[in-house]
Amino acid sequence: MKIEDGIDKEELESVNGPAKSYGKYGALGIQMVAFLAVGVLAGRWMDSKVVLKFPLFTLLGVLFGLVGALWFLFKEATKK
Amino acid sequence: MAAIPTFAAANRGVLLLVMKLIPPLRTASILIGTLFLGPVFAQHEGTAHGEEPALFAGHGEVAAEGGHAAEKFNAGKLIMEHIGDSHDWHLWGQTHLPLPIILKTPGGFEFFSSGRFVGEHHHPALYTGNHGTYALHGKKIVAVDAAGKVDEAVTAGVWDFSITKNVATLLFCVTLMLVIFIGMARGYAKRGTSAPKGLASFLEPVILFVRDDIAKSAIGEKHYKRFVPYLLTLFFFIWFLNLIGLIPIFPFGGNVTGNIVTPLVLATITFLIVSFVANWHYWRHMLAMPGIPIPVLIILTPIEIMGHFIRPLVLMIRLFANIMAGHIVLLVFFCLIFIFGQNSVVGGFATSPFALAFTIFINCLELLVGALQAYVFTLLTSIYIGTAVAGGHDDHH
Repeated sequence: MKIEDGIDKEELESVNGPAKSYGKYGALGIQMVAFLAVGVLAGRWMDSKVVLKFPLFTLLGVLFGLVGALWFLFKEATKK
Repeated sequence: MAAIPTFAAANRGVLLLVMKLIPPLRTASILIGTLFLGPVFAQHEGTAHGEEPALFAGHGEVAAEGGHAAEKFNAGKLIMEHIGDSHDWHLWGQTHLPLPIILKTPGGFEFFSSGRFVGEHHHPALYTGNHGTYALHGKKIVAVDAAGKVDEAVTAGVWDFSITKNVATLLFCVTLMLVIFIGMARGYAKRGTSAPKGLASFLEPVILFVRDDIAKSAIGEKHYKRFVPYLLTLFFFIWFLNLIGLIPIFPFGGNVTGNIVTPLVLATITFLIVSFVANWHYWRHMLAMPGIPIPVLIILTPIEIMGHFIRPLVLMIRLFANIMAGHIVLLVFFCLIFIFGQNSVVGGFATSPFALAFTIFINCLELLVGALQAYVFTLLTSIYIGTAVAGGHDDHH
């Protein structure tokens, strides 16, 4: 039990825990979706500008979004 | 200072329980809401066309609320109008509080009351100002020509700076906050170190909670102090606006945080702060992460740069979606009474107790969600600031 400034740190941590993880991991979920969405939308936009035989940029966008989503998930999960 | 442990300890069990219950309850309520939303919007589709000329489409809902049986009740439209912004403030029945309209036209500024758009017998009217003639087209003010038709070319040059319902709510909230917090500050200045009184004794633990538990724990001992004023403002601003949005009577009820513009501005401020305070360590890890081979960097750097923009985007979407969904679910349950009531009066009365109970239940849930979303927005903002100022060599703790 570490008391600092009259505040019991451990006590605070344990109360704040669930809400904090709700905030953190909830944001991580939306972040994954946002990454995919931005990747796909950017790819589709590029494909509408540069018309190829198959939707190359959409595919690249999806891949890019997936890698990004996983990268930030990995970063958050391995923190500390 | 001893307020927190007592406060926290006393509420610990309850808080833990509530935190565990919120996600399933919310999911359930939104699912149920969505089930009913299907018929509601199907009905919207069915009745939206026809009866009225498109120019004055915004005024149909009033009659349904006033209890006129002549017009069919349109729940989808009612919900959308209630969660959206408007140029007047609906009080009850056909009574609307007109709000000031400020337009910047190519010819100069126009100031007039939105009551000018309502003529005799609540019929829509045109208003002729100094620089042109205007009409309220749904929620948008358009310029019309002599024949009464929308003049697209002139409309494109009209900028609407009106004090809308949301702006009025915003000003009201700011006034409320200034009164409360300046009063509190005066109280502290007068009483000094003795125990706080009145509202201060309720808000002091919350302020300490934001300072110690959000700012200090996420940003770190070294840098947190200069961000506390912003984080406190953010927290109370969002919290107060969320609460104001849940009280259905004037001067409350404006859905400000559930309008994408407010979270957008708040997230933009956070984004600017993070961008400006970010240190060398942060930029280096974003642009060229040390210890990573160059072929990987080609993929990683764009992703990291995108991450810099997506994080505030997530912040915005989360607050907006949560508050807007809450308002929609509330209104859907409330509208059920009128949907059942329009076919048979008995149906309406039979539905009322259940709909009312559900509305009250969701409203209580939204009280929690309002506080939680304010907390989460502030927490995520301080986590972003924390990643931007942390690192380097001197402060690993």
